[in-house]
Amino acid sequence: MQAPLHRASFTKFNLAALLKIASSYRLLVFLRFFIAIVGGYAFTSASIALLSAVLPIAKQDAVLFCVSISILIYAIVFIYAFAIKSLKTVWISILLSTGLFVGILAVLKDWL
Amino acid sequence: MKDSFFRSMTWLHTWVGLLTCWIIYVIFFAGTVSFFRDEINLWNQPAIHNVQAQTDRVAAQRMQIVKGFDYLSHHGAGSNSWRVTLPEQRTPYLVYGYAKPKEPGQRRSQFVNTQLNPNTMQELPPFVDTKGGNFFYRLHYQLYYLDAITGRWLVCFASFFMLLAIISGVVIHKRIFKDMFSFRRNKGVRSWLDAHNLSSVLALPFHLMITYTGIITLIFMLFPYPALTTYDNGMRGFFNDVTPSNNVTNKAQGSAAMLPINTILDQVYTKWPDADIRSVRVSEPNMAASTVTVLVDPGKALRDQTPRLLFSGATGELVDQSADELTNSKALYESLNSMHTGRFATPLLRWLYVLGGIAGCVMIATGCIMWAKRIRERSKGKASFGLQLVEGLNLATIMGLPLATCAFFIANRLLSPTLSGRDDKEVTAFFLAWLVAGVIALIKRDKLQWRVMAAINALACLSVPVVNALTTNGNIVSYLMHKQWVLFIFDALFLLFSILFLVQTEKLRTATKAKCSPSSSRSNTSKGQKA
Repeated sequence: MQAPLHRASFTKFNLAALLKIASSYRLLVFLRFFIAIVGGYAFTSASIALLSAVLPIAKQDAVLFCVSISILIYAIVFIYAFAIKSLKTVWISILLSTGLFVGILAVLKDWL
Repeated sequence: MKDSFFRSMTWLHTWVGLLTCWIIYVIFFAGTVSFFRDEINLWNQPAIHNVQAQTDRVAAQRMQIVKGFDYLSHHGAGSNSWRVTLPEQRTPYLVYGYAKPKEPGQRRSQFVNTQLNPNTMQELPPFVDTKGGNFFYRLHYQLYYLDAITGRWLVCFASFFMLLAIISGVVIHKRIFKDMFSFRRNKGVRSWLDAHNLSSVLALPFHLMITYTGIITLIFMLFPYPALTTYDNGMRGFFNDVTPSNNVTNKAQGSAAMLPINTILDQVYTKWPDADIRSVRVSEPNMAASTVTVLVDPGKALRDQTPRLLFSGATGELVDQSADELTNSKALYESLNSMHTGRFATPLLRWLYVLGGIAGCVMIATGCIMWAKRIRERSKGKASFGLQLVEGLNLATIMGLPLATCAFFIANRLLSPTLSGRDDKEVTAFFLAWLVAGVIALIKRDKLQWRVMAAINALACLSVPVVNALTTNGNIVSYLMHKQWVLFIFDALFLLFSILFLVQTEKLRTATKAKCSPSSSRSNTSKGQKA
């Protein structure tokens, strides 16, 4: 009788620890997907909006070129978000660069 | 996110692939079928089965247009829009149409169309109400039973995930090459992996191209920001800039007699002597603001926007036209779009597109089956809810879609031509058949159920040409005798798929038998399960 009981409590203890790790693992995965999907979208939007504003070609050509490469940019950012080990680096780099692009665009377009 | 780039990419490939594989399978399946959109329209419409291709199609166009304007000025006098659509290689009949007044709540006004046989210039028997190939075309990019915009966003994100799965798949393939020399006991999963790799690598450029360009076709919904920031009046300003439009006389007031269409056609043929005209559209006929747009086939050029000339209907003056030479950016954008739709494709290239699409379907199907097999082998008999869900969705999607497609075509032949809302009932048949597959997958998801579905599919595929022969004047033999190749190939393809599903049924029978004996060889199932 003793042995199974002992084993049960041991499993229980392990399970609790595992659950803790799993939940934080899940959170990390969620955060990474979030920055990849939403952050990547924001980065792409900001960068192509800025690029279309500064390209020295006809307006419609600038727009067509920028939307044509948009998915390439988005895909690269997405892969980047999963390739870099540190989640902090990913978040900070994407947020900062997106903010920078939007800032430059705001100055160029007199939004402020 | 993992220790190494390869491991991160493997993880990403698995999860991004698994999350979206079923919706992507639907998109690929419907997209592949859509390459035969015009051919399906033809098959679904028995009234045009016997229309012969014209001997000199382009030469007859001027006469057809002139007669069309005659017809429309009699019948469509009060209408604000006319259309003459000329026969093409894949759509062998002529259409004269005029718009009915818009009813409240309608976004676009409906057209009253008259279809004619271009050889005899006689009216064709009335068309049956069917969505035809357009059903698959819409299903492909906006799904069904969903708000169109929601559907498009879903398709966009699923396609983007597909693109990521392809990129990460290429990255991890190097690892797979290394693994080829290591011993693996699980031949079952191993063979699925081989099938997955083969279908992916063989058509890799196609998969990359079709996924990337697919998202580009919806890009202004996904990324409107460049247009929004560059143009003061946003998307409208951008589209006005890209699309040729009549800015000369479109604000003119009052009515004015239409100039004879021949004077406009003279100008078209002076500019393009060999013009293969697709259609002529008139807005505000008999008004001073009237515009006549002549659309011309771009031939094999990679152009998405049909080349066009715009004339004032009252004065005959050329008011605008599409660019003769595309700028670099426009050429890039237009070629991406036209590569996706493949409208320029000759029959051989069209078949290559279809084969690429089938390879895509196989790639997706083997990918999600492989995932389920791997997890099942690891879990040793105890299946979690997640695994059962994946297995159920696999069976319901992979085997359900062919069944639903057969049901769609059988319904097209069996529903009464006079039934109201007939086109929607065909679509209902499609989704009901899919629901049946879903219920079968809900009961059980083992090899036996796959066999049952394969047998049902074999029967359903066989029924399509049989029902066609019983309900119309033609059948597969008469099509062959009269060289009606489109109809013949359509029926023959269903016979071929019927045989493939039969082979699959047989393979699964031997596989289920082999499983009972101790020396089991699971690899048998690898080829049979995908037809």
